[in-house]
Amino acid sequence: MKSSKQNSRATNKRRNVKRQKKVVVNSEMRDFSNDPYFVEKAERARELLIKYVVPKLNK
Amino acid sequence: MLLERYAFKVDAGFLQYTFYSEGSKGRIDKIVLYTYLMTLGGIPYYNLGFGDHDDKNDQINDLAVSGNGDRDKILATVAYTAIEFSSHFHKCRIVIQGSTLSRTRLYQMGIARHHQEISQLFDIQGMTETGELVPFKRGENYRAFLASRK
Repeated sequence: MKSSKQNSRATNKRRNVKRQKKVVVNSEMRDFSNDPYFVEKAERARELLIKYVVPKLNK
Repeated sequence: MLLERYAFKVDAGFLQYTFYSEGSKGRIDKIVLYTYLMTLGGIPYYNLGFGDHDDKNDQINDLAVSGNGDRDKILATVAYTAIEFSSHFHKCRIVIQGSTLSRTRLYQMGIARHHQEISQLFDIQGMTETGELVPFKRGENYRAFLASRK
């Protein structure tokens, strides 16, 4: 059986996770979508799809 | 999923998420960006991009190991951004690929560790070295992952 201390820890963890759930929408957030790092990452992923996924769909 | 994570902010388009990693090396600005790639078979594909924003040179990178002692919390936060993103972009597929082999392995270990929780919300496929898409299995190595919300 769990001790009251363990139960209390579990309750606190659940509360903390619940508290974290709130998502803040920030309409003035700086846009990183054109950052070279992210552009390059997306390009690599696109190449991966073109090389391996597209041919299978076209079969 | 009930994993410890950081609170994050999201832009109005639900494509970009930011949060701070807080640990032994101070506060590190983390960015998660979902980029539209293409639509295949009626399903839109998005890339999950993840990196550190370096204030000094105002650049993003994910090659550095920030070593802030909170790796699992960071990975959990990224996973939560995927939940938030996929609740706005239904029936999409998310491509997850590390910028290096070791980074892809890190993602793989994170997925494997929490596969039970993750698989309640997402179907995860692994892309093998030969480009085959197969259901994710612990202990197997993949070059990338595809996640679809159930």
